Parts: sequence; structure tokens; C-alpha cells
Amino acid sequence: MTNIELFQANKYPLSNGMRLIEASAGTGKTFSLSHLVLRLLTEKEYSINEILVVSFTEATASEIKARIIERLILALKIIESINTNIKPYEVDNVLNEWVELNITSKERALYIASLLLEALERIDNADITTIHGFCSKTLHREAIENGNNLNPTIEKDSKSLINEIVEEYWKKEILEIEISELKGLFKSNFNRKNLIEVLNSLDNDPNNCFKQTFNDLKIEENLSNQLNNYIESLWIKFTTVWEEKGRELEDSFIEIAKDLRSKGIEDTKPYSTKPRKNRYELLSNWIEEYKEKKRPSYEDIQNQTLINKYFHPKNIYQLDMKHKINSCSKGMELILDIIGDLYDSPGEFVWEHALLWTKRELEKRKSKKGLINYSDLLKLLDPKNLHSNEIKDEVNPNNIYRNLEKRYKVALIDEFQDTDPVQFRLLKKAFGKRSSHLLLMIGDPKQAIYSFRGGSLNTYMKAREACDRIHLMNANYRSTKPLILTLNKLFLDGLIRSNLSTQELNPCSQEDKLELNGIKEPFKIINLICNNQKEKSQRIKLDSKSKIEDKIPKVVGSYLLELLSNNPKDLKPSDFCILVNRHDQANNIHSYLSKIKIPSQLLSNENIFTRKGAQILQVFINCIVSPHNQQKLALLACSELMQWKKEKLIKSKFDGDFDSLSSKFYELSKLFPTIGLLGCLSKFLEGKSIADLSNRGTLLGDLYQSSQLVDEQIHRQKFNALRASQWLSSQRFLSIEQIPEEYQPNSAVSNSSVNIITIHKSKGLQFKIVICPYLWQKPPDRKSHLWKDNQNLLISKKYKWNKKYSLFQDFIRKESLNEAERLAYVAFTRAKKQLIVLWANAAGQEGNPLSGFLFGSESINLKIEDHTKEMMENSFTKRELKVDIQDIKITETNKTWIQSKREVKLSLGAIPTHQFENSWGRYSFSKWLTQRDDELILKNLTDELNEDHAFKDEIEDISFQEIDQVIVEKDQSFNRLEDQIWSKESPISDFPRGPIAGTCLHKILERIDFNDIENELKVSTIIEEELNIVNISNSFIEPIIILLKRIANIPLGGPLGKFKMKNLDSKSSIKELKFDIPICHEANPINTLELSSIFREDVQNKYGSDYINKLIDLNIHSSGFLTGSIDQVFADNPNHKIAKWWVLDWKSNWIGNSLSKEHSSSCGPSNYSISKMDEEMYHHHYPLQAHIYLLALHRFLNWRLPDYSPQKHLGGYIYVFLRGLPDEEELEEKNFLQWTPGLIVESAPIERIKKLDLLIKRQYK
Amino acid sequence: MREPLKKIFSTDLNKSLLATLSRYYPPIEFNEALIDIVNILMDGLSRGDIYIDMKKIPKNLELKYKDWPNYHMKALLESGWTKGDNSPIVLNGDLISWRRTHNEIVETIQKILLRNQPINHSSKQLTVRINSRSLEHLNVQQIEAVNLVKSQKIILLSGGPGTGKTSTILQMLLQALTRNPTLNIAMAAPTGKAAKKLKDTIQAGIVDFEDPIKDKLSNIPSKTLHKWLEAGANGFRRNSQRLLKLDLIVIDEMSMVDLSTINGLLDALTKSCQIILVGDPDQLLPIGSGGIWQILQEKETKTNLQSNSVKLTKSYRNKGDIALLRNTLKDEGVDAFWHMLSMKKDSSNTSQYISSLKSIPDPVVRTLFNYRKKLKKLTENCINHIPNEAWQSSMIEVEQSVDILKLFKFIDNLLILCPQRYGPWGVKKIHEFLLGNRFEEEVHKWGEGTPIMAKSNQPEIGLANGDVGIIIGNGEKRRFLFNVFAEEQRLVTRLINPSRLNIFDAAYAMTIHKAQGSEADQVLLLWPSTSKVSEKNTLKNFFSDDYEKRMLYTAITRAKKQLLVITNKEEDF
Repeated sequence: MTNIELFQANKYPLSNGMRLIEASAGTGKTFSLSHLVLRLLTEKEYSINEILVVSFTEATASEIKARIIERLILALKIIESINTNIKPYEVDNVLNEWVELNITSKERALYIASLLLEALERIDNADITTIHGFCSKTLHREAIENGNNLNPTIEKDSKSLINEIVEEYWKKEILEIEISELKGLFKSNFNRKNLIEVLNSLDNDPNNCFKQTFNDLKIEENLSNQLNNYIESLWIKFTTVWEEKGRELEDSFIEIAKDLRSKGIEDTKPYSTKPRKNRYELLSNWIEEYKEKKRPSYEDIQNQTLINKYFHPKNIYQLDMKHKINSCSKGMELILDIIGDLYDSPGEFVWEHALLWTKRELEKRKSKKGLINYSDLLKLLDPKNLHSNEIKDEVNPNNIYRNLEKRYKVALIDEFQDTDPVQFRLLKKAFGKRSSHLLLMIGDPKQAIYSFRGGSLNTYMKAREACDRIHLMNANYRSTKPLILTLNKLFLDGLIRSNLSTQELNPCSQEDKLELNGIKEPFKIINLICNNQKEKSQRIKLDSKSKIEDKIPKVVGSYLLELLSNNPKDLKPSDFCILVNRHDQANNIHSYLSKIKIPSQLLSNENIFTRKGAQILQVFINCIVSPHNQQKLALLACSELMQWKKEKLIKSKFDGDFDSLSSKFYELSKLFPTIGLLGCLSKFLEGKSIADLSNRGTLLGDLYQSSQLVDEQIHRQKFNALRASQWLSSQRFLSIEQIPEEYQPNSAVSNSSVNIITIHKSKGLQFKIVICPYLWQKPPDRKSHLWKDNQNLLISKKYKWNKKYSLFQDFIRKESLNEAERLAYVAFTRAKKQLIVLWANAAGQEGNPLSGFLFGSESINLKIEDHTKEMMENSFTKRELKVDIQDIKITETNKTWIQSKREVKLSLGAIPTHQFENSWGRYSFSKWLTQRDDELILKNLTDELNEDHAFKDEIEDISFQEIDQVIVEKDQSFNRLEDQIWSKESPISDFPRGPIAGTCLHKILERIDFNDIENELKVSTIIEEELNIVNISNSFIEPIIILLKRIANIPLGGPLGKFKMKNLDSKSSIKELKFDIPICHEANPINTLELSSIFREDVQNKYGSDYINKLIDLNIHSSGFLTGSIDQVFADNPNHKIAKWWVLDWKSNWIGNSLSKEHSSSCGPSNYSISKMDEEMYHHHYPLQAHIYLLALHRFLNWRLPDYSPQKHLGGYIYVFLRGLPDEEELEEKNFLQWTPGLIVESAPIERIKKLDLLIKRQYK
Repeated sequence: MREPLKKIFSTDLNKSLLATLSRYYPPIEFNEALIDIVNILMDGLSRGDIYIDMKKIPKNLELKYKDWPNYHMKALLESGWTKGDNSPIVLNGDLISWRRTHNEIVETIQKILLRNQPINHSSKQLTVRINSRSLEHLNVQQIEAVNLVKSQKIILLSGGPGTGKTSTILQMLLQALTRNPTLNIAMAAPTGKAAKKLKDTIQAGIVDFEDPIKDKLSNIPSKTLHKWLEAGANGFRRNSQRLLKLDLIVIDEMSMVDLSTINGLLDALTKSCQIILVGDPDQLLPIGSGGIWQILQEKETKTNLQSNSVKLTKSYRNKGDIALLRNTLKDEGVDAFWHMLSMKKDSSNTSQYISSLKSIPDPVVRTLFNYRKKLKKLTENCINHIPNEAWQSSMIEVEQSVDILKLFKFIDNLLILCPQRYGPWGVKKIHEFLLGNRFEEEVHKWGEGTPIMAKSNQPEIGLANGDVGIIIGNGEKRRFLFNVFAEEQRLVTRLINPSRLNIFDAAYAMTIHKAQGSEADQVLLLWPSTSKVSEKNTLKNFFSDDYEKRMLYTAITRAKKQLLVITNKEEDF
């Protein structure tokens, strides 16, 4: 081995050679890597295209790329700042040092800057990629440069093709096999799913090949016959040898048992010194049964427990393994083999036939379609296959490697510990020339956790041997100093199983230790004590693994609850990360946490359409498409939505339930065009099933979210049910690289919840507090249908009972223990401030990854019973480790988490910086409006031109002429007397109409601070920005300023008297308040009639029973959520205890007279009389909107304002018609204070709001 | 279901087809007259005609270029599109056809001929002696057919309606079973309705048989060809890789089987499987790819299969003038038929009525009103005899009371046939007349007693495309009364919930295509325009002689007892 040095970012030699950097977790690997690229570009003057950077996943590769770009830009800026003497940037020491070393003169600086600029220019073409990306790029290049006709389509895997082939094989061969044989086959683990799985793994494995072992197996020929003959021959062999040696075998088993007993071994199962049954006789009798008849079917053989549990050789070998003896005598081997053959080989025979056939077919079809997958890519470039003729025709690898050598000078390999042998061969062949290339590998063997993808530590260790120099990165920037010091001691002995040493890390993080109530040290162990564990009793009966595992969610949950409530100020749920081994564990913890009301999320970058909810939705919508289709309905009936059992389904065909289901969907299909998918869904789900669904984790949420997305498309693209179903299914099977934000499951969007994630996925991430609740478990034995001998994969266990097979079994068992240890290392190093590990003594968990770390390296082979708390404490004392050990008994908690309420005086605080989840709802006010009857929509279309937000469609269709005509007619019929006194022009009368312009005005109003209205520069900047966004002429800046001043200075009048917007304290106002009101979640949907009834209350208030008639036009039928956003909510007094609260809505509606006699349009205060505004209010159902807004405010205040009383605090609503506001002076001049044009200010009708409140939250009766 | 008589191939399609052809097979000499050839070939396909005789001037199409066929023949030859093995068009004497379909036909015939070998009798014969009922009641042709079963692998049995095809099939099956009682036998037909009917008649024919053989015969499954072949989105799932293990298969209504289906079937059958093809060669051709049955009946091909073919000519049904008319039509053509019909003023069971196209003819109106009234009454009678639980579910069997039998018998009594769905005297017009102009949207308003026809196969509830049932009950209890096949191939009556039906239509009248395979005592045929005076008559343009003949033939042979043909007055055009 070569010498090991510490890595120093600026001193690291860039000379050629093969080198390795070992970077422990949290040592700033990506940072160093990008700095090295910077150095290579400048100091060695390599072009960016001569540098290859390879990482493990697409995600890491693109992160590295981003970091490199960042680094180069930063360097460039510093160089520029030196030259121009602008104030220097704040940069890290490494870069400062680099500048000092390299920027020696002005000329030099310019030169380096030019190099960097060039690199940045070309960085898009730079090869910063994954190994597979690199391979495919290489092949493509080769194809282009040599004119080879090689333009393969690259697929990640061939899953769909495999499914297709297996399906075919199944029909062609398997279904032709007789049923009794088939049943036996299925017992031997042969089934479609396993076949697909094994074939897939073979297809994706570039390192190994499958080997045929049954020599007389012919793939071409019919399997059924071959199998029949084969079993026949096995049977004959078996019966002959049994007759001859059966009795002898039974005797030898008894001898073995005696022998073991004499050695003091009690457990001789299944053999016994004095067996009660004569098993030889029993089996002979069984054989006798078939003397006359046909041989037993394979099912009969598989069902013969005498063979399986007693005579089968696996029993004796298991015994041998257990006691590490060799009791099998030569004489027995023959008969044992034959028995084993009879039992196992027919299954294996079929397996082999299936694998060979499907594999051949797969290759055939892939080459026919020109498909290539990742593993084929590697195989194609594998230097080991250089001489294989197959490839020679298409590509000449020699050329490829020559070209690669020429193209690149440096190869940087990130995450090298996960490299597999082929990949390494490839890299070594291409860049291994020490004289001309720098092959730099960066990795951490302790984090090698991808052996299931073919990566193996052996490859890494071999490469390590071959390296010229090895450097270490040991400065940790991730975790706090106390935690690092603890971990240093904890890992002092290295990873014992994996035989890896650790380096002491140098803590560099500036962050402070976390002081928490209930935790004494940064490393904490929760010692789980079983309830039945009696202290000091002689033999402790340990709980089983599954028993303890069942309790873990409760333990973790109650502990979290305790921590959170003991540290209400310092801890948020999002500080925690729970690391699990498997997804089901994640789900268990997630559902328990939701039970005790701690928010949590499963971290995964998922598309909502790939989830179960979308799948169920598909089934649902399919039923709407074809309510007559029995199959589809049955599928739905058995899904989570209905949960019919099989019996129920069968019965339903006769008791009529099935017909009613069909009728139900028939009805829904009729309703679908009017109520949409979500409407159908809520109609279909009644209270009961919703409650059940919401217990099923995120299912209900996912279901709603995906149907909302589908509805959006239905609305936008005018889909019918069939098209909607097709759209959904295309979304479900379409793989999108970048998942749009709205497609990410809402159930995981929340950013204030506990993270739950598998350790594999956690790689590269960091969390404030890490909890590892499952590390006490021994990793499960890896089950594999194939086993490996050298590079050969075998299905046949013909050699199963020989040494090679047991060696292999032993090897993979050890491998998985080793990997578990490394996973534990990865888990521990995710923590920034606090690490909490759970320890439990569970039966049979020897080999768990924790015992070495917690009980000292010498204890890894101890029995699990001997892992006592004393021992743990001793071990820690010996290592001078300060650990907080806490005993916890498993108790169920009845408590739930209540977010701490701060004991502070209530006032409006800072505006929250984190986003609110608000995309869940569906029935917005405008949605209600669009649900009016078809004819009405037509009739009212013309007027909608005026409305600001909601209606964007169809407007273009109507010619302006026509609309104008309508308006003129209306105008002339109007009494103008009272209007005449007001001016005809508003400053913004010419301002464009329509939704875009309206939104623009809203945006401006949202950003403007009326206190600061005199600051013209600021105001005009805002206006200009907003106008530019929507491309409206800047000439409107001035008019809008005038308008804003009017708004600010006009006394609002009515109940608000002289209150002016400019006097409004900014702390007393909330703009764009969003709300979600659940509607009738347990009862029938709310409908128009019910809604209109509220207007019978409060007769003294405006918009009462006269409004009911208008409201009836709407076709409201909603349940779910009502969402919306209020333009502004404010309090009319800075003392919030006595203030009244108001909702304010800006309206940009245009009520001008367009074609007046002068043929120019006008629109101003004179047009906005009370009657005309009322008409507008009615027409757009603003009264309804106002009441909903008031309800939202009512609930909001009820929640936030202590001692809230509607009579005291609920003010009312204000509608500001912007185009109608008069000048302040004009207003004073007219001295007409009963009303102000453009303003509608009304007190809250409290009875109505109360009734609406009841109506909307009504319970199921 | 394919709509007959609609122009399936638009001229735009033909134009782009020509353009595509020119791209793939660049013609040596391009001539725009080729569009006429493409048009004619495509038009032929839409009626099922594969071979087009260049010598005949196409009546049904407007040619873009004059001087047919010389000019066109020249253009075709110069284009080089008929030369070589890969050319798109085959020229065979004066006949032209698409190579694709031609090859398919050649291939199919080849496959049939290959299978056409004498049966080698296996040693295990006659283990059970079946008391084969005397063949006395069979005529010579039928006996000949039955004898063929002993020796031939391929048997073609053709004959018009009422010639006793089904009873012959029954005897043939019996014969086969005498040879070997363990034979694996299947029955097939192109449509669900036909398959059902075949099963039905066999079932009815074996009532008097004795038990082991009766059992065997009644258990022979009868399914559609597509069902046997397990047709799916990706073609047939029964194919040469996965054979259908059958010893004998009977395919009825061969005239409706198209090329690709029979081709698929031949691929999926084992070499040893005996095939009995049954059909009426004079009926309508399948649309699209042409019918193999009609080609097999042609003289050239038949020479090879002469010894395997039996033609039943003795008719046991539609005696009297219907038979006479049928024979005239078959032997002497359309004109003779019309002539004869107009002569038969006082015939016992056939008559002609002339009416204006502008309204539904009086006899139809009268018949329909009576029919509707009677249906309603019969349906109401049925309700009392249906047990309460039967309303609960579509899967419950209803005992066939006398009333129900009566009802179905009455439904089967009458067929009102139109050549087309749309246009004057189309099916739609008649239904609009009875059910209102918006009848298609107001399905839920169709009252009790409205006959309806299922328009898709729904095996899960036993329905076949073309099955006719009737609406029974009102409101919550509105159901569709159907005779369906239960799982065990038994015919049962069920009350089917309306929501369970995929597509259906009213069934007061139906198109001739839809009626293929049905029969009724009384048939009313609405046949707009028999006139040849008007050249611009679009309806008329659509019929080629042969097509018209087949159409008429199919229509009139539906009648068992009475036939009324209604034609329009000439001045309508």
C-alpha cells in the first residue's frame, strides 16, 4: 500500500497518475471536487472538455455540475474584483488561498479569467454525467465519427419487454403443463412474478452470466414433454436407489443423532436416536402406492413431508452448518443427492428452461428493436469482451478506447465506492495510463451501500491497492464539535465487520451544540426494556423481532411527543429525521405519528400519478366511462373505495347490489359533464367511506389531489369522461423527469413535519436530529433465486449441498451483515446536532450492526442475551464516551401533540416566510359562479367582459361591437339625473379592460403601501414593473398614481365615516388572505337553495331577500373545500381589541357608456351610481362573495382574536370600484356624504354570517 | 358494428392513398387516371368485392377520366404497379385487385387445400356403437354431406335458408361421434347472434335423442370465432404458437366471415382438426376484406374442393312465391325479380306496395302501431308472472312463463327491414316516427314494450350483438327483458338492469345487414328507389348489381311466411 496523506484543496498535486481520495461523510466532497476542477482548468490549463466527471446518480451529477459552475463564477468574480477594486466578495478560505497562489499579476489574472470564461461557455457540453450517460455518449460519438450504424435507443431497463415475453412464455409453455405438475412447480417458488424479477436482474447485471446446468434440456422443444420425461427418470432413479439403500439411510440418520448426542449436542432435530416412527417404512408405503399407477405428480412429491422435512439432504447440511461438523458419510451422498434431485430438480429444470428461453427471446427482440439498456451499454464497452466477435461487427472497442484516451486528460470519479467491476475495468482501460492521464477516484468505502446494484467493496479495495497515492479528507463541516468528538470515539475501532478503518475527523462546523430538555449528550441511546423482562432472573426470554418491531412506532412516537413538548421553543417537527430500513417501517411510523397528530412525511420524490390514489381514481373514472362493464365495476368494488370481499362480490351479482352499483355509475356518467370528476367522487363517497379512507394514510388526499388535477384538464380541454380517463392513464404511465410542483403529492409538501426516510435514500442529506429506531435488527437474509459461482449464476441446486454453495450462502450472509454495518455508519453521520439510537434486545438478532459500536468491537460475536446495559455502559466508560442512555418501557400514549401556543400578547406578527399549503381546495367562489345553468351563461356572457379575475375564456368570441351595443342600450334606459353631478372621467377610464388588466391593477394594489403613497418614486417603480409584466403602456403610470392617491385620501364613508386608507396602520392589515373552508364534509353537499336561505336573515341589511331571486340562477352543489383569497382584511383601529375588522375587495369593473354621442367612450364617477353598482353587485354575485369573505374573516378572528365577539369586532365589507372613485376635492365640493361613487361599504349582517357558518359546517344527521 | 351502405372510404382517403402508393412504389409513368383505379378498388372493398372486372364499366362510381377501361388499363400498365411480386396491384386477366388482399386469399386457399386430406382412420374406432338414427328423413344431398364426414378433413356445406343446413350439421356431428365418441368438438359463427342461433337449433334438434349422445351434443360449446381465437388488441391470442386443441369445428354463417378471421382460424387449428364450413353463398359479403366463402364457391377454386362440397338445394321453407322470387333473383337477376314481383298482384304470401318517399308508408305505419300496441300489452301481461326477486339483479333467471314465451314469439314474428340506417325510409326515420325526433338522446324515456337490440357482445351477462329484447317495467323497476345464454350454454330469460347494457338501439326496424341470421314469419322490406331512370339518384349510385342482388336476396330470405316489399313512386326523384 502507498502512503496516505491529508488532502489539502490547494496543495493537492494535479500530476498524472491513478489516485484516490477517501472522503468521510460530511467532509465537503462536492466542494473539494469543484475546487479541483477549477484548479485543473487554470493551473493545468485543461479545457473543460478534457475533464470527465462521473457520479453515481443523475441527481448527484447535476448537483456537481451546478457546484462547478458556481465555483467558476465565484472565482471569476473575485478576479474581476481584484482588477476593478470593487468591494471584495466574501469567500471561503480555500478560494482566498487559491487567489493568493495563482493571481500573481494583472496579466495572469486576465489570462485565468479568460480560461474560466471559456470553460463556462462550454460547460453545457462538458461531460459531467453518470457512468451510463458516459457510456451512451461514447457509443453515440463513436457511431457518428466512424459512421457505424449504431443508434440504439437507450432504456433504463427492459421491463415492459420482459413482461411481454414472460407472458408469452407462460401461455406457450407453462399453461400447457398439467395442473398437478404445475401446482408442484408453484410450490418451488416458480411463478410469473419471480420469473420476471430474476430475468430483470439477469438483464441488468453486466458482471455475471447465467449458466445452464441441465445438459439434456432443450430450449427449442416443448417443455411439458421434457419435464414429464425428466420427472419420470428421476422417479425411476429414486425408487431403485430407495429400495437398495433406503433402510440404510434411515439407520445412518439414527447414527448421526447418536453421534451428536455423544458429543453433548442436545438439538438433533429432525433426527432422533430412537425415532418413534419408522420413516423408512412410511415412505416405502408411499412409494408402493404408485406401483401400479402412474408416478406421483410433482405436486405429490412436493407435498411429501417425509422427504421435505426428513430425508431431504438440506436437513443434514443445515445440521452440519449449525454445529460446524461434517456428518455426511460418503455412502449416503449418492442416495441423498437422488432424493434432493427428485424434490428440487423438476422445479429447477423448469426455471432453467424458462430463463434460457426468455433470455434468448429478450436478446433477440432487443436487437431487433435496437434497444439497449444500461447493462448492455457497459457490456458493450467492457474491455474484457474486446475479442468477442459479437461486438466486433458493430463497434471496435479498441478504437473507442484510443479515442477516449485522446479525448480526456482527467477523469474524476465521484462515489467510487459503489462502482462495479465492469465499470472499473472500463475506467481503468480508458484512463489508467499513469503517464498521460489523471484518474482520480473519490469515495468512502464506509458508505458503500449499493451492493444490490452490483457495486462491491472488493472492487474498491482492489482499486485502492492499485493507486499511486491516497489522500484523506477529514475536515467535517456537517456536525457540531461535540457530536464529531463522540462519533470519533465511537468509530475508533473502525467498521469491524467490513474490515474498514476510520479516520479521526476534524470538526470544522461553526454551529453550536443543541441544548435540550431531556437530552444530556449529543449521542443518545434509548434502551428499550421489554415488559416481561424480569430483572435478575436466570434465563431471560427475549421478545421476538417482530414483536418488538410492532412496538417501535409507539416508542418513537411517544418519545418524539415527549421531546417536542419538553422543548416547545427549540424544536419543531421538521428538525427530526427518522431513518428506517424499509418502506413498510416508514409507513408504520408515519401512520402512528399521524395518530398522535405529529405531522410527518415520507421523503420521496414522487409523482402523484404514480401513487395508489391515482390508480384507484383510474378505476373509478373507468367505471364512469363504462358503467355497464362488469369487469371494471368488479375491480372498483374490490378496491379501497368499496372494499367488497370476494363473497360479497359473488353474492352481489344476485342480490342486486351489483346492478345498483352499475346504476349508480350510470347516473354519475350522466352527471359527469356538469359536476366533474371531483363532484362524482364526492357524490360517490359518503361520510362513512371517507372516514375509512382518511385512516389509510395519504390515500384520500392523493385521491382528491389527483382528481382535482384531472378536473382541471377536463375543464380546460373540454374532456369527456373517456378522454379524461385516457389522459389520466397517460399521466400514470408517462415518466416525467421533472415532476411539476402541482404533481407532487400534497401529502408530502408540508415543510413543517418530521421526515421519515430510508437510510439508502438519506445518503448525501443531513438533518438536525437523527433518530435511528431499527438498527438493532439483524439484516434479513438475502433471498435470491440464483446463486453465484465465480461469474456464473446458477439456478440449479444440483451442487447445492456441496461446499461451493454453502460458501456462497455464507458469503452473501456476511456481505449483508457488512453492508448493514456500513448503513449504520451512513445513518449515524446524517446527524448535524443530535443522534438518537434505539437499542433493543430481540431474539436472534446477532449480527445487528449496532452491537460493535455500542458494546465494543470485541462483542460482535456475543449472544444477544449477553448484551446487557451494564456491558454497554462499561464499554462506553472504557472508551471515555459520554453517552446519554435512557431506559424506556413500551407504553401506549393517549396524548396527542398540541402545537405549543406561545404565551405572548396577541398582536399581528411578522408575515410568515414559509408557504401555506393552499392548493388542496376546489370550490372557489368563481367555480360556484361558473356552475350556473348553460343558458344563463350564454345570456350573461356579454357582461363578463367587465369582470376582472374569473372568466378568461370565450371572451374573444364576442365581437366588441355587439357588446358595446348592448351596453349603450342599457345606458339609455337609465335615469341619469343623479349621476350628472359627478365628473365623467376616471383617471383610468382608458385603462385596458379584461382579466389581464384587472389582475395587473390588483397586483399593484397588493404591493402599494398607502401610508407611503407620497413616495412617488417608489410607487411609480412598482406600477411600472407591474405594467411591464403584462405589457401595458407606461403612459398609465401617471393616471394610476392619481387613482392610488384617490384611494388613499377618500374617506370611506358609511359605517367607516372619515376613515381613510392612508391612515391604515400596516400592522393592522393583511393583503391577499387565503382561506380554505371545509364544506359539509360529513353531510350532503350544500346547494343553492340552502345557501339562499341565509339572505332571509338581517332584513335591515342590504342585499337581502331581493338577492335570493338572483342567487337561484346559480347551480351550486358542493362539498369538499371552499377556497378563496381576500384582497385585503384590515382593522379600523390600531388597538385590535376595540377595532372592527373589514374585508375589502378591489373591483376593476368597467361600467362606462361606450358609444356616447361624441363616439368616444367615457367611464367615470358619474357612471358609478348606487343603482348601477348594485346592478353590478347582483350580476356578479358579489353579495354572496362578500358573505363568504365575512365568514372566512369571522372564523379567522374566532381563531386568532382573544375574546372575539362578532358584534364587537366584525366590521363589514367594502367593495371599491376603482374606475368610479371621484377626486377627493370633488367629493368635498359636492359635500354629498350619503354615498361615494365607486364605493360600497356595508356593515356585517351578523345573523346571516352565523347561519352561513352553521350551514357550511353542518354535521351528518 | 359497421354501418352498411355508408361510404366507408372517403375520396380524401383515396387521394392520400394514391399519394402514399406513389411514394412507396414510384410509378414508372404517373397518370392521374390511377385515381380512378384506386377509387374503384376501394369502393369494391367497401362492399366486400375483392376482384374488379375491368371489362365492366363501373356504374356506381363517377370516373374522372374517360375511355374506361382502355385508357385506365394503359395507365395502370405503364405505372408498373402490376409488375413483379412486390407491386401493390395484381392484374389477373381482366381482374384487378390489391395485392395485399389477393395474397391473403391465395394464402388462405392454399392453407385450406393443404388441410384437404383424407382422414386416416385411427385404430380405436367404434368403441361405442351409436344408434345412428336412420338417415331416412334426409335427402340425397344431405346424406352425401353426412358421408363426407367419414373421409374428408374439409367439408363445405352450402345452401340457402330453409334447406336444412342445421339438421344436416346435426347428423354430421352424429356421424363424427360414431367414429370416435370422445371427439373434442366446437361450433363457431362470426357473430354472437349466429353462434347463439346455431346452439339453439342444435339444442332443439336433439330433444328426442338418447342420453349419452344427447349429453355430448348439448355440451358442444358454440362461440363467436373471435372468442375462440381470443381476439384482443394485439391480434389473436390463439395462433400457431398456441393451438386450439380441437378435433372438429363447425363454422356456420360462413358468408359473413372475413378473410383475416378465417386465416387466423386456420393458423390456430391443429393439423388433424376436421373443419366443416357452412353457409349461404348468395348472402351479403363481409365489408372490408372480402369473403372467402363466396370465393370458395366459385368454379375455379371449387374444382379442387369439388369432392368436399355439398350444395343443398331442396328448400323446406318459404314455400310458394317467396321461394319463387328467391330463385328468380338468384338465377335471373334483379330485373327479373322486380318484374316478377310486380306481376304477383294477388299472391298468397308476397306483395308489393308503392308509396311516397316523403313519409313512412301506410302499411308500415299500420303494422307498427298494431305491433307496438300488442307488444305493450304482452309485456304488461308478463310482469305479473315475474317473481319479485328477479327485479333485484340482472343475474337472476326468470322462469319462462307462457306469457314470456308468447312475447318473444311475437317479437320474432315481424321484421321491418331497411337497406340503410339513415336517409328516407332508413331505420332512424322509422324510429323517429315512433319514438320522437330526439329518441337517441332520450333513451331513458323509451316506454315499456319498446323492443331493443343489443349492439355489443357482453358475455358477462350473456348478451350477443344483435340480440333483441324488450323494455319492461317503469321507473325504478325499468328493466330489459332478454333471452340470454347463461354460463353453461343454457338459454335463460333475465331482467337486465338498463345500466348494464353497453350500447343498444330500438329494434322496431333494422338494417338488412343486422338482420342477417334472423328470420321472421312476416317481413316488411322498405326498398327505396328501384328506378333506373334517374342518373343522379345518389342512393341508386351506391348499388352495384351484385351488391343489390345480395342485399335483396338476404332481405327476402328472412321471410318465412309473408313478404311485403315497399318501393317508392318514381316521381319522388
